[in-house]
Amino acid sequence: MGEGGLEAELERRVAEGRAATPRLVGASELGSEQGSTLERTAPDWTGLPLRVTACLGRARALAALDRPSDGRGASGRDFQEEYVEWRLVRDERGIRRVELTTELADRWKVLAAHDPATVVELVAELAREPAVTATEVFGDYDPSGPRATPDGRERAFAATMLGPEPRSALNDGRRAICCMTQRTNSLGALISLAAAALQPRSVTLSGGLGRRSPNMHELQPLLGRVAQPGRASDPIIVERLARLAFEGRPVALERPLALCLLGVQSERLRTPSGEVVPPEWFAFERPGAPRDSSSGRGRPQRLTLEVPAGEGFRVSDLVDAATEAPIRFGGQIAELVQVALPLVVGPEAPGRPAVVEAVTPVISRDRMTALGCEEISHEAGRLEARP
Amino acid sequence: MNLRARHRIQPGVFFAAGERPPSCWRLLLIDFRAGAAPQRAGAALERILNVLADLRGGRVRDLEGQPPKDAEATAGQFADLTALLAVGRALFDADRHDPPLTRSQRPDYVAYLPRGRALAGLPWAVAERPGEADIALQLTANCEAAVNCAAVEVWKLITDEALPLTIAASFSGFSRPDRRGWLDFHDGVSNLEADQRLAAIEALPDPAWMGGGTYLAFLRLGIDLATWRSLAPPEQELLVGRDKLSGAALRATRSDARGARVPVTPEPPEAGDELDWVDPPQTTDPLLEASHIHRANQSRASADAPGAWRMFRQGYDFLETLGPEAPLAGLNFVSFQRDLSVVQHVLHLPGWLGGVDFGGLAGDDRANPVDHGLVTVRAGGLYAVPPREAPFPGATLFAR
Repeated sequence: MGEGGLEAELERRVAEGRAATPRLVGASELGSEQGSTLERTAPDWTGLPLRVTACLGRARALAALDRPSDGRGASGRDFQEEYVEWRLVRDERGIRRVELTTELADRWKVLAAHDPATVVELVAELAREPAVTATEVFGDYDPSGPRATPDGRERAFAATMLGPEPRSALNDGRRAICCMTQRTNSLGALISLAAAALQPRSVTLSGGLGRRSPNMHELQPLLGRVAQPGRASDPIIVERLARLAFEGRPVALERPLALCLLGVQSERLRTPSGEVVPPEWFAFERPGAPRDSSSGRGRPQRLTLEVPAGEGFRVSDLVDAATEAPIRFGGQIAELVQVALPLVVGPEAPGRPAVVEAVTPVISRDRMTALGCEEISHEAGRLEARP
Repeated sequence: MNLRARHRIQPGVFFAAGERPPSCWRLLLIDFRAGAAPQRAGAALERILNVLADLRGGRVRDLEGQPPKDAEATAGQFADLTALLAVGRALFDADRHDPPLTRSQRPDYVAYLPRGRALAGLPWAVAERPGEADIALQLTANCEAAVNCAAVEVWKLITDEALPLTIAASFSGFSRPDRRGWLDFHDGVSNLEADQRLAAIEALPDPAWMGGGTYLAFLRLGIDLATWRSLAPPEQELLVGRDKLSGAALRATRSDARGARVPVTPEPPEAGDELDWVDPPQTTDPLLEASHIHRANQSRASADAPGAWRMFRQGYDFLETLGPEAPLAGLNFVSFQRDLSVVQHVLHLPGWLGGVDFGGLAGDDRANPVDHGLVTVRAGGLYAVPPREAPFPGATLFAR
């Protein structure tokens, strides 16, 4: 299956999920309707889970986020809920490498369904191993057998690499991280969130000042569980989409369908001698080439931080100048990373759209109430209790 | 329950609806003397705050028993004086205070500003890098005499009672009724809406002693007015992101007769569009995206979105010197936020203010950002503002 086929299949899955709102359109529909008046925007956020740090406190959260999988139960990846997940590669001297990914599991499932050989090669490449077996990727299912089907391969891949637990070491971080597995870091969750946020709504301002787009706190009763308050990601995405809907603008997810890593605050990191870490130590990958994006810009989905071999020190010898803390956790790097959701947007409708739903203005109050800290604390406690 | 009753933010942060910061400001930076004991250190701070509170009641230490009419004048002079106490990175520095003055945990982002560049695209103007201290005391009032006399009363108290303190530095500033800054553009127009501010500034209890407080970022930014005035108004407008005369946010650019990109003058707002006129929707014009107002608030999201990096700004201009050379003028950038990571993200993130000193397109090489040479840091520090508590904010830090 070529890239075009992969994208078409993903587009089909998006279409299945977006039936709830006509304002989330397919990229092809937007292009044909609007000609050259399209605009591109990409709401962005950083990768450290803010809800988890708010609930647990920063120190406890950083530790929880890195709890490794034991191959049987939950891991810190379950807390990595900002559409980016990571793993640490350690040796006897400390953290050697940090690998982050925003790759959607759905993309890998489609590829596994139609091109299992490529998937196996890719997994080996990301694991930095000469080869991996099909069994490690597809379990007991023979992806090239005479009875293999796309549906069968996809299910086998999902069961082996995505979980629920246990997951293959080739995606749970023990040997590699290929794509996201946290249950809300999915294409389905993203589509549900977008569909819910793109309903045209407004808040009427007092004093005849007109109307404005509602904020996350005001939308929460209407969105239910599709958007989680307190995260870095969901409120940013919700408020941007709500604003676009308020303006009457159709929206499409940019092709290729992906969340991407726009940049990293590399200037914050210092070497042991106090020098600013060279930006080249951060490798943006998959895809990095501008031609992979309909916008002409690069849309990397993978980022690796590794100190070159000859330097004589490790990632864990680096210091974040903003906190004066040595790098001891993956979350400290995720915090520097800029994750984005590329969107294509049609022109603003003339005049304001007819209000579909009026929203009651709310003055921001206790923001801890809706965070679900009890559940997070409980899960963190379970991880900490593990030997 | 009114707003003041349901939070513990110290006076001096004017975030409630209808509040405007007083027009005069002074920041007093104070260090504890080497070897000061925690109890004595805490007692010294409590003494200072009590004396400042006495000023509001018209009581001056050296004028005990002055005639009622004069006491009334004194009370009038200091009537709206606020004193906000903040603690800096230096207080937690074991190299400066051995034994330590506090056993409380340092908030992670209360850190020294780095040596090389103060923050991302902002270079230091002076080698000494002033602005760090154990304690920052922010004084505000509508009368310059009030903040200046209050500062001197602090010095008198330290001297007279041999308090274990020294005044490290002092900075002053003023606000402008015309709501413009030294760049001649409107400044502070798109500050947070009042109903958003408490959510944006109220700190979580991490560490516990900071729950209900806030964090203060202070950057004394020198502005090279000669360089700024060498730019044509359209260039200035593209850097700022606003129309120079009306203050309206720019919404589009066009090519002029020479092929240069210039702003399209915004139309006056229609009824119901005032918010967009002040704070427009997200733009995709690369020049407008790179302007200051867009960089400083990329997401346009509310304070309910913690990833929006919203801060409440309460800055004051300064004029340090004016002689035959260009004036040494600038902005005391002061912001309050629920966590200082907000400031770090805004000033480091690509596409936000990372890699630029003010606005405009950034260079490809992050190590050498395009630098208009407009802004330098003359002093700066990051501070924790403890919540109100008895007997004084931050008392917990010095308790044994």
